[in-house]
Amino acid sequence: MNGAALRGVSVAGRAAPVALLAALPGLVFTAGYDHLAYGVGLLAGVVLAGLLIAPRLAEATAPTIASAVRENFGAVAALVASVLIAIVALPLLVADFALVGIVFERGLGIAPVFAVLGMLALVLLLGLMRNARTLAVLSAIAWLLLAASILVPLVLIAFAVEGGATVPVTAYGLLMQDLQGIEETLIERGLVDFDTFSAHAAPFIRLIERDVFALVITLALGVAALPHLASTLAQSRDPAAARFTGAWTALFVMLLLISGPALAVYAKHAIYSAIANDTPLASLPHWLDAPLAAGVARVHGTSLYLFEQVVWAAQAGSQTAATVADALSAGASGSQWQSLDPDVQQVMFAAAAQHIVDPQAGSAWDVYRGTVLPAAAAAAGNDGAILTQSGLVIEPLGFLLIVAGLTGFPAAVTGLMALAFATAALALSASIVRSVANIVPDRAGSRAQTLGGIFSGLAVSAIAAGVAVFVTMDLVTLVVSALAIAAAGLFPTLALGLAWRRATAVGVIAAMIAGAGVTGYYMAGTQFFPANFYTTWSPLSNASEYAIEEFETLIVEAREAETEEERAQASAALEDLARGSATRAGLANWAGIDSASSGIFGALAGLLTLIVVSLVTPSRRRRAQ
Amino acid sequence: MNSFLGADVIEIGLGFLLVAGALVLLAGAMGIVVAPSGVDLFPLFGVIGTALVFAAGVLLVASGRTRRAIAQHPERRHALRSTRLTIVALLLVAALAIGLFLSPGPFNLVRVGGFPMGYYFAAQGALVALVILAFWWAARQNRIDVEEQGP
Repeated sequence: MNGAALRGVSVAGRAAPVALLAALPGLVFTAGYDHLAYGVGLLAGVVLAGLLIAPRLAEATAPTIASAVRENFGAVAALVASVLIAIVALPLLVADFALVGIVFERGLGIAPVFAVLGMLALVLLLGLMRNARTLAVLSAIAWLLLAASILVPLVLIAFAVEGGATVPVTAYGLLMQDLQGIEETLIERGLVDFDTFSAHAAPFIRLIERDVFALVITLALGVAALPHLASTLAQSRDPAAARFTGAWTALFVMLLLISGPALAVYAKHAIYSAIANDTPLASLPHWLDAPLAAGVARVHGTSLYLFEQVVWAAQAGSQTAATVADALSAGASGSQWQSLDPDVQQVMFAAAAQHIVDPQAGSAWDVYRGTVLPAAAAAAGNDGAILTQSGLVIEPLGFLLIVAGLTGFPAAVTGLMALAFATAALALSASIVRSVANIVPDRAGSRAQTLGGIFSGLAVSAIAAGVAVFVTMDLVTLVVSALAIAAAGLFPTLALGLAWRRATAVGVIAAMIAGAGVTGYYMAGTQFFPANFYTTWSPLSNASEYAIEEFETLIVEAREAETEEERAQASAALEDLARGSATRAGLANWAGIDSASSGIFGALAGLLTLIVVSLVTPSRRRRAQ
Repeated sequence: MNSFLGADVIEIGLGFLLVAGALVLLAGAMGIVVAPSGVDLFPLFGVIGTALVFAAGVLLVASGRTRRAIAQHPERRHALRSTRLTIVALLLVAALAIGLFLSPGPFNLVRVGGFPMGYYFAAQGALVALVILAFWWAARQNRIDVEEQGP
């Protein structure tokens, strides 16, 4: 291995957002082919970062985005770029901190506050240290741990399934053929719900083609423009070396990205086999124990974790099932509780109250399995009380716990995964904080951190840590949104602005503002004022005639409401309809593109603005030839 | 270099022919142009095929124009060769990450080692190809840099 390969391992350990890497097997499990787009988009982004952008940064005095933009376009452009870097860094850091919080809380029972605070201290130490060598070594270790955390379970499960040693990453084709057979059996026997089920290899069922297109572009351009990635690749200050480091990085990231989907297929085969074999809910497979206990998998909307939360609420003084909702309102448990059938809520609350009075009668597990699960199954119309596809909901991180259970060594594998994600999140966060600290120029040209840089790094990471403790947002959406802003705001400037000699400072500034503005507007519009957004852009929406009719009925209802309360109700329903939900697309959209994937609009707007404004403003840029 | 029928002229001409062909295919599919005796070639090529013909045409035109520009401005050889390589590499990245991903249908009819081939490309094939492309791109650009910086 040469130097570029070693540097590649180190960059690969912090190239991709850890929350996305951790979620990848679970995402591919949920949507099969469509979610393979995450892997393809990420890798294309790493290739672009290494070959298109890093060589440009390597030519600047300091290999950072702010420095390259300042030298080519002046201080104002650099300031705008710096603000964008901070905006992109914040949600990425929040996702990292939150991931570590979840891993430590659900895996080891440590309160997320302590995990996040410990992580914050380490991130600041590593990110603001002058010497980058420690971080580079840590990142290489992070890659090795990530690879181990995917490959060890993969080899163990493949060994159990195939009854011998194989190369699981290429050998799972035959298993996929088998999986297809199981899926057909499930469909024939009516055991699947087509709202949530799609055959694993069938393309464009969970996402439409246009959305996949937008997602791949957003991920690719966003990863390419990640503030820390290109500058880490360019650290050698030599464009030729930066290119080869980029290629090696792509190789090592690729190894992670092709192993994740393999893991998804092995575990999906086991899960669907259990469903096809009519597994009774009374004797759930052992690999569902840990995810149900951690609340990252649910059977008919319930989990042991949720039950224990209800017990806690009852102990804290909730007298009826209705008041439990208030006690649980913070966090994900509240919405899970509220989506339960009222009958199930009653049964769960009664069982919790009984469990407090008489804890000797059975463990929480026994009560959950014996009382709560049958009631939930009955409410869902699952009379046979067997495991069904629609009844079993698995979150991406819960999927990893199932994987760990399938290996036969759940504790060891869970520990390995937790260690790998925590290390990788630490390496990535420290790199991001370093890139934020680097936005402030150092006058003497030394590579020491400036006071302003240290302050920016401190501020951004402290805010991120604070938000991470409370964030309930889906981490994948959070990360993709950050990438969308990077794609929209930074990519046009980095890819075209630095390469095109006619690009002007005004053009670059306008491009950054327009790009980030369009994507920011789309995200805010579709999330916070969706009804208004739809009314403004209704010709561009892909809403069905039925949905439009419903929307117009609600508008009339809101207008003609007699009391304030009725009006508020109708308006709320209007916003919900326009916003959409996890399972139903809203009306507020352009051509049906998901708000997280809206980087495509911003990037397009940014590129066009850059070209047009640069052509109409006088070229003042003089580059040394 | 200024011969009447140089490589640049052939490339540009052929490129325009391909672009025009793709546009005619598209126009036929949209019903703007009525093909003689009901011959509709669009289904044969499909969206992806038509896009590929179009991209190949654009590429040929760009290549021919770069060739001509290099002949006319030898001092800009380095920049022009780099730009051409970047455009080709970006098109290949797009073809692998987007084109291949959006058209698994025809490939899925074939199975490779149990995998439906379209699925295999999306899960592994395209990713491996992207990495090979990255190494090729790096080596090629570095060679251009060395060749053009030499005396």
